[in-house]
Amino acid sequence: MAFWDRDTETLPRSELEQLQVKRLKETVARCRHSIFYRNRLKELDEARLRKPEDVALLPFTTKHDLRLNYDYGLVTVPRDELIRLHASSGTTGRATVIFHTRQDIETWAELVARCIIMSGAGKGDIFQNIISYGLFTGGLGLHYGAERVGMLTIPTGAGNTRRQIQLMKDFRTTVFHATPSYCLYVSEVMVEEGYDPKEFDLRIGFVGAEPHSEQTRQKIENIYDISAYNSYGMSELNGPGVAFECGEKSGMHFWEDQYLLEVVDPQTGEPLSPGEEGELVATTLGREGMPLIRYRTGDLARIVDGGEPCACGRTHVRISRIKGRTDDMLIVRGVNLYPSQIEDVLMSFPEVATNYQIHVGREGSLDTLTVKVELYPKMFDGDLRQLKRLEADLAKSIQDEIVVRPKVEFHEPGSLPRSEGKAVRVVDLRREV
Amino acid sequence: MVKQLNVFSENRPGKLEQITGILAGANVNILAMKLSSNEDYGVFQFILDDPEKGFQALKRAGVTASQKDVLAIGLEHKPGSLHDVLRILRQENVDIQDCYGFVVASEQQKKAIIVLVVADPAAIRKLLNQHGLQLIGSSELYSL
Repeated sequence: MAFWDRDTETLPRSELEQLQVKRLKETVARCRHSIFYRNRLKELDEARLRKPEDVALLPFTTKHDLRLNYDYGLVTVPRDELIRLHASSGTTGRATVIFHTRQDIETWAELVARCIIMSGAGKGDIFQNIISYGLFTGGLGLHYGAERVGMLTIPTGAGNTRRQIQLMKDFRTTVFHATPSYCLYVSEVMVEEGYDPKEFDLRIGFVGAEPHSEQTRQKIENIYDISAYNSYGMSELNGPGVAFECGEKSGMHFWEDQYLLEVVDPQTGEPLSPGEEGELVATTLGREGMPLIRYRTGDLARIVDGGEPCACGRTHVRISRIKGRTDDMLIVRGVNLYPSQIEDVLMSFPEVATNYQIHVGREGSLDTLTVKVELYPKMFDGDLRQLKRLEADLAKSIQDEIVVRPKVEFHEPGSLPRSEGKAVRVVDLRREV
Repeated sequence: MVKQLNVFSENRPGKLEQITGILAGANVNILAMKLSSNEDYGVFQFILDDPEKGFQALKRAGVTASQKDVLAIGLEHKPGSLHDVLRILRQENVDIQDCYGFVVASEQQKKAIIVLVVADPAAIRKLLNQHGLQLIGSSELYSL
């Protein structure tokens, strides 16, 4: 059994909780330096925070708060101490931005290193990082952790599947990081190319960025003859490295020395009992640049400990797979997007009427996104070429906003379903992956 | 100037039947028609004997339609007529967006009509007049 940071990972519960309270107080004190938290924490006396549950005395922070304070509203250090910025998709008013200091990047890499070692991977392994780099946290997040533990890191990012396969073959990749759907897609292309996925040197896969079922994980393990580990994270909490499976694969260990986890009722915000399904709320305990207090993740899950320590020896709590969202966020090809982002783009095109639908489907292993719009009769020029150009413009504009390129379909006015009450904007035809 | 009626339609069975039904119900006669389409949708183009009536009838029925000014050139219905016109258009570097024809027959004569869709119909009409081509106006076309 290998540990990256044995002492922290196996810290006895009482010491872990004391550590959490200590860091929570430090975080609250630090947050008083930010424009956003300054007033919200005015009434609070840190002395009242004596046990982890006392975090409930603090206010929640939501995605909406992050968007509204898009620039430096939540930053607690002088600007020139920030060395990295990560952002979700979308333009101002839509994107959430997270800032990191040097220490934040350090700590993040440490957390990812823990996860990597926990899976049995490490120095001597050859790691192919098949997740997008850039503003997405998946790429750089794993990258820094992989280099830290000493794996030979191949920073391919996602896409260019034939090249991925060639590299795996040439350099005898042993470990990879990918979304579950892309993972399956790669295996299909391998077969098309005449390979058996099992014949590669792969032995471990980190699978994340999209919720997926136990069946899918086993399918991946069988197809490649590897051990696949579920990875959880979000950019607001750094990125990957927030929670990860150990060899027992009965839940993902949530790193409680860095995050104070709560599970709350999504409607009322009231804390739930351990084991009840609710919204994950996390308070960062070590983040300097932009700490977050009681951040409403929007992810639904539950704690699966049942109070029993994990056989691996780690004392940090375990959570289940993510069951769903509290909001309408979609994940398509590993990318988070909101229907309202698409709606905003459509509204900027006078040719398109207000009724639209988003269909999410799956072709083989890959997600598909189709935006169905009704033409606005007054704007119809009569030209097939106009329509083709409009189709291309719409697809590109939507892609610029959400990163994923959709198929755009034109429909006659009145032909898309209308409902009496709330419009059904999204039809998700995917069966659970 | 002559009006062409453009009708947007999804590529589904029954659409042409629906559209022609509406026109028939409005007592509108079709002089010519064609279709441009791709897999998912298409645009029907009609020359009607009463384009405004046809347009209003389609609009009332919720069909997406628009009207476009196009040129109608009258030609003798014999081999070479169309080629002569095209020679002139090429000479003058006219960019043709769309082009189709039909024949009208009466007791007295047979006449060929070429419909020309261009970006600036008014300017091209002037040009064609200079070359002595006979342009058909709307009242004449609709009474054929």
